[in-house]
Amino acid sequence: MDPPHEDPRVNGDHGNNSRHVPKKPKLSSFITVSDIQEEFAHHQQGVARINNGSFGSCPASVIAAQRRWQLRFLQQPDDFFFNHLQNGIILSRTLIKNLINADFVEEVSMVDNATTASAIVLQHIGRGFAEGRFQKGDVVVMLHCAFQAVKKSIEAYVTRAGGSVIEVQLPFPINSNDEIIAEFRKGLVKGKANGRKVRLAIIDHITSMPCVVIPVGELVKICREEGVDHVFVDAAHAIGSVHVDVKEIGADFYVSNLHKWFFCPPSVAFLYCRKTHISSNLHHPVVSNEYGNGLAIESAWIGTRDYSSQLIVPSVLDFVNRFEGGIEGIRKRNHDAVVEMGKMLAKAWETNLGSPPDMCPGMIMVGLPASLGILSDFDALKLRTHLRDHFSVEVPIHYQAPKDGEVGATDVYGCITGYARISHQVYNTVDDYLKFRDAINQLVHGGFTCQMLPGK
Amino acid sequence: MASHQLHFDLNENGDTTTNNHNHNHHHVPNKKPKISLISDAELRTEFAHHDQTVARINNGSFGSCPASIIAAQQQWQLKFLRQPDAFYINHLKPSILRTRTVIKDLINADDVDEVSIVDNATTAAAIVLQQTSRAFAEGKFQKGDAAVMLHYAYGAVKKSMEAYVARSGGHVIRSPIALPLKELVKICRDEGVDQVFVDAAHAIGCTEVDMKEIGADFYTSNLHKWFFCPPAVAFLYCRKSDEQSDLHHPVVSHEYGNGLAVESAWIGTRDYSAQIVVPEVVEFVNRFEGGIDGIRKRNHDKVVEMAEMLVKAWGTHLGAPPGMCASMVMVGLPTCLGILSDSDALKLRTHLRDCYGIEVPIYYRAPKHEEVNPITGLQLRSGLVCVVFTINNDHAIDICKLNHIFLSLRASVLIILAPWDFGKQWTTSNRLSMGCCGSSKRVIKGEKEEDRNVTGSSTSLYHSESISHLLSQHLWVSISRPFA
Repeated sequence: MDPPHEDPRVNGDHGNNSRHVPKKPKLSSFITVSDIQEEFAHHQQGVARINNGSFGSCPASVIAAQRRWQLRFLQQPDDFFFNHLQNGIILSRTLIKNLINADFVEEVSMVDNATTASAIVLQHIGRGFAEGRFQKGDVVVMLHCAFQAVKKSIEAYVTRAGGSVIEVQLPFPINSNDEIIAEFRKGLVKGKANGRKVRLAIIDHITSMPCVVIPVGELVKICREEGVDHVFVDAAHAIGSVHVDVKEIGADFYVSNLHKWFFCPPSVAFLYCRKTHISSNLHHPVVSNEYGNGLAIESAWIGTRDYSSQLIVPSVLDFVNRFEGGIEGIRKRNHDAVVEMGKMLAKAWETNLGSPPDMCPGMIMVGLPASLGILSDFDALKLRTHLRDHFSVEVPIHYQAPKDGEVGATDVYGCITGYARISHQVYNTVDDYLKFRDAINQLVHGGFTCQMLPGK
Repeated sequence: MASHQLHFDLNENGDTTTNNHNHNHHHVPNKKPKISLISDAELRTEFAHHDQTVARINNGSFGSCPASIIAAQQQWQLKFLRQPDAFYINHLKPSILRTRTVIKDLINADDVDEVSIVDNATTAAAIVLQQTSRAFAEGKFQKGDAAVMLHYAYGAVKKSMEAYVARSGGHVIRSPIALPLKELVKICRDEGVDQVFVDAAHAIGCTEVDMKEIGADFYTSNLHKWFFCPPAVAFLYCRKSDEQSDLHHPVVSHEYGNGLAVESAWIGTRDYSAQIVVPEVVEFVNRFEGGIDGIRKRNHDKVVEMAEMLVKAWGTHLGAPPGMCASMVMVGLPTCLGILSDSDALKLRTHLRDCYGIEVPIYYRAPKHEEVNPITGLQLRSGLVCVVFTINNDHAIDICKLNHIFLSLRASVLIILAPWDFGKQWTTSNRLSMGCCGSSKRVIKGEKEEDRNVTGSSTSLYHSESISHLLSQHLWVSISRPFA
């Protein structure tokens, strides 16, 4: 399929994907199980791939479409640059705008990933401190389990420029949204103490480790009530995973990776910036001759590189619409399947789930037997490597230190300090989770502990 | 649905292999048996994906990449897609280190820590200039301290200077100096310039690149322009100094603080295959006689030959002597085309692409009131051609070079020299002999006048005052086609 010059969906519905009606003749049937197997036949056979959250996945038909874009550039790069690149990116941005219910296509920029988006937003905040618009000591509030790259970005751009940081501790395992809201309110109070202003709140839509869906809409509302300047939602996992409506959520900045749960090749993300006078002051850190033409235009040209993953969005929508219910159907089925598999594992191991099912996206945290002796982050990493190398199971492990004075979750052996973050995507089968179940059972019955693994 | 299947071979270990390349990460390119030289037929196959209807003579903008490298790159992409966690944990870092090591050897850097891999020179410029910006913001530099750039610096770099230096309080100066790089760097050292950044976007694969010889603090070059890498990859060399480096990649990941090279090797999930494939590109290049040096030399000789052919056919002139050209040459276009603006140049370029299947960039350089052109500027204005040079009075080197240029241009132009400071008197040592062409119209005012229909060379000396008088009146000379 050739890259389209004009996509009929550009003028289509806002937001609600299930009303998407492509202009070509309606398919007589949806994608079949064997079609899906072929689409993901390039995944390494024999590996129980239950970590879709880290690096995502991309079907073969999308990779093939991407290669066609890449070839077009190589065939005649000048012609591509002058005649096709900008239109292709505007088309992708427009389709995303419709998907996320943004008002204006200017509000949607395409960048490499959420890490890049964080740098853009935080550089902007950093300039506020450097140029004296913010007082030294003014605050940025974030969740303590924010992604490590975001924490480092805050250090590089905010702390370095004189801002201070408040971390909101979220309990885990978690039982309800109320716990999150209560902790967040406490964090804002701390932030505003001593007459300081909270210049930015960074809120995950779906935290990474441990993985939980955060009630972002409510937290944004609280931020507005409490006079927080800007709200940035790091929704790296969100699109394709939970419902995304940027107007409903109401944040100033919202980023999500398209290569995690939206079948795009590595890598591409959208950064939504609500249209205000502030948004015109955001810049891509890699400055090209488009500097000053707005973030979306700046991001669409940051020097010669391969922009094919940004151009591929129409092909991805074609793929997604081969499934019943489109992307909404996919995410619902992923959620239901991962909850079912999570419960199966928790039952088999006699452990627990890290959060109630309605706080899970396409991933869920499953407690690991205490006998495994996961006593540090390093133990968790060693166990993960061990599972990869010896059992062909790819799954991230989270170490949850027991809180002082609290017992936390337990099983018959003691405190549950390790959780596996399992995922479900369209290519998974029940066998993947049975393989994981059996691997852990084998380790437990063999008396394995993490202390047995090499390395200190 | 077979058309979507991705074909690759699996060896016993479940690693992908291609027909030609083994991605065992212990692979050491220079230990392989000698490969036979690439044949003409193979070369054509390698670039068969180029649009065959186009005369593609703009390698400088976007570069080019052979088919076998694209195939190798796709294998790396597949390897990631196949099992991304394993790729990230086991292969990514060693692969990028391998690339950095190969580059370090190519460019004669001392230490692999000095070599970072980034997307392109535009990114490298942002890295260096952000560091400058921080220095201003944090009081390390005083407001008003200067950053100097050449006034024909790349557009993106100019914008980067605005975004990072001017915005933080630095004073940006544009200078029309035209000197060989090494000498420019030496002058900077002699004059106590803090840091020197060389934007060598085109250099690698096009000119000699030797970090120790050039002696700059920062040096960047794109590998996808003249070094056959896929889009896009560049190296940024940062000379090791006693001072703690404050260079950081603007996209901050968990590697922040581990040094620029390590930071640049992980800036979030993305496709790093263009960075990883560099060792295989070195293998490709070594299939040519003389390797990259041989390719460079032959490109240079050929482009000069072709430029001279065009100049002869059109009756125009080269923008600079062959000795100042690498793999690209500026060729004057016939004045009757009437290129009177940047917009005209772009329109002509589009016209050549759309109606003639020729891809070539066109340059229009308008003179400004108090600005004189660098050596390589050709101006077309109202059907006239004027080549204007500027020198600094005190630099004998400039003068010798200019002399050489005048002689080698086989002058069909009137050359006007202007001292950098118009008010200064010429000293005897600053005088030059110049070739002076015949002109069919009498245009020059001032001390010297040319007769109609004078052809051949003559020697004239111009006094500085008359030159400043000439220039201040924006005088132009008309020329006729030589020996027409």
